[in-house]
Amino acid sequence: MIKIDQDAEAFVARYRDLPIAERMLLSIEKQVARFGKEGARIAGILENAGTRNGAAVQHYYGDKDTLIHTAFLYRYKVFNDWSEHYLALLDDSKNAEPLANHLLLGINGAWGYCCKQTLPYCYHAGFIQKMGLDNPGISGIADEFSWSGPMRALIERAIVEFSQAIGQSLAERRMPLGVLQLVSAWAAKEREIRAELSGKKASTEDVVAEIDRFTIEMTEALCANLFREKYRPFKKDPLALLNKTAKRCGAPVWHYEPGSVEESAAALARLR
Amino acid sequence: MKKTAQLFPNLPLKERLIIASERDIALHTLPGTRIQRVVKDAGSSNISSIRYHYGDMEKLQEAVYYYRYKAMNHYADIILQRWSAEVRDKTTIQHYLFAIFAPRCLIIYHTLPAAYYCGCAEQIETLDPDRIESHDRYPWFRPLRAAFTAISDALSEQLGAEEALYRMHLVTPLTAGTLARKERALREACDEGRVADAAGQLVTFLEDLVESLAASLQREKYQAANATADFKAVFEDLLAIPPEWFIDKD
Repeated sequence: MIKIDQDAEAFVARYRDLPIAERMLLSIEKQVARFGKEGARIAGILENAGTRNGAAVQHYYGDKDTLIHTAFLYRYKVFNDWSEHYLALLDDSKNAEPLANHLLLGINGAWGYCCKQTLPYCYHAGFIQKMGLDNPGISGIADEFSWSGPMRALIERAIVEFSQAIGQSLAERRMPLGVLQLVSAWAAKEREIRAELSGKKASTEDVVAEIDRFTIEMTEALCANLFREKYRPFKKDPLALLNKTAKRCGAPVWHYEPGSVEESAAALARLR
Repeated sequence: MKKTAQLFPNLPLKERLIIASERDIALHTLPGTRIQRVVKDAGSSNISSIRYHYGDMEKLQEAVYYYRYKAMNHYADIILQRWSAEVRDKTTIQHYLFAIFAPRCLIIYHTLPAAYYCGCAEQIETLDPDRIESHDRYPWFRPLRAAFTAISDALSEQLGAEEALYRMHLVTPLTAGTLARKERALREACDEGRVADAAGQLVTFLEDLVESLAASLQREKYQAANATADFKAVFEDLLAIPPEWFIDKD
């Protein structure tokens, strides 16, 4: 009923130039996003990393959990970089009204940025969803690292802003109904994008524009979800701020250094 | 955790297999499901019972969705009929959303303390959304589809057809996770023996969910439905109907 993979070869070809340890991170991300943590088999991971060496996972990462954890860190640094730039621009900007919408836009924008930068193999939101993390920013997984923090700050500021606007108890009650499902929404979007790109129905430019639209629409939908009667739409076109951040952020630096494996294993041990 | 066989000793094995499979998918995802675990959970001695009743694992999983979906349509039908008789021209988007989500909450209620339906549906949806859509071709699917059509008509009137479709599409992925989360919370509460009023909790949750979805869909045009009393009465009436699941005849 489920084939191990139809497009493993294209995937391998796309990332051929990366070191094998890094290819394995991409490969587990894909496997988990598609089949879940329990459904991701070592065979599938190896197939997508383009190796036949059965001991590769063990050699580079020790076990599957460390591999998954490192794969999470690998992408997560970019979220923090993005959030840092976004927060700085948001504080500079005088007409970011209403503020709650803009904070939520930043969180959505980070997902969108990651999604755009990983086309056509965008699996990160799916990966996070299948790992069961609603909100990686505040799960504490990356707390050990100096670059971690801006994403958390963004999320926490958004929560404070919501609580002030509608009262804390209402905010707590309404958040699970919408905002906490953000990751699922992005995972669904990623699946759709992949289907579009693999079917050659859309060009990359179209998809990027579509991601921008989705980012803004999702933000508005979730704000309406939280605020209901008190909902206020964006006053100005929010796309400008997103584009400015993307420009300032530049190309992403994926967090992979050969040393990070040991660090990651140690951090994981402490978390347990 | 109690086995399915212990929880439902009176059901035939054929049905227990469905329930066990549903639980396994919810807990271990569709690709992570294991035939041995399902069989053991259903209280059968060996895997040939799956072969006997369903042919193979894939057919069993197929049966899993139909099993609850038919019941959902049955409930949705009752609700829609009541709306058309009682509320008529005052039916809002919330009323139709209620017709879609109340059946799921009823399933949660009837299957406690082993409610796994929404978790299972979430797993299936995230893996292969097309599968859910393919239900549409069955004639018994009409009530749920009617509710969807009613929502999209009402939204189109306010926003235009294209925008309405986009927004419905936007909001859909939010629901599966919300329901699964609620279901899990109730299940855990049951395990610890501290669930006092599951039905009451579900009605409040349902109302909240329906309003929040309506707000997401309509945004600045959103108006609260103020139909709490309607929702509560209907939900209580439906609770009184003994659950009737639909085992596939073929």
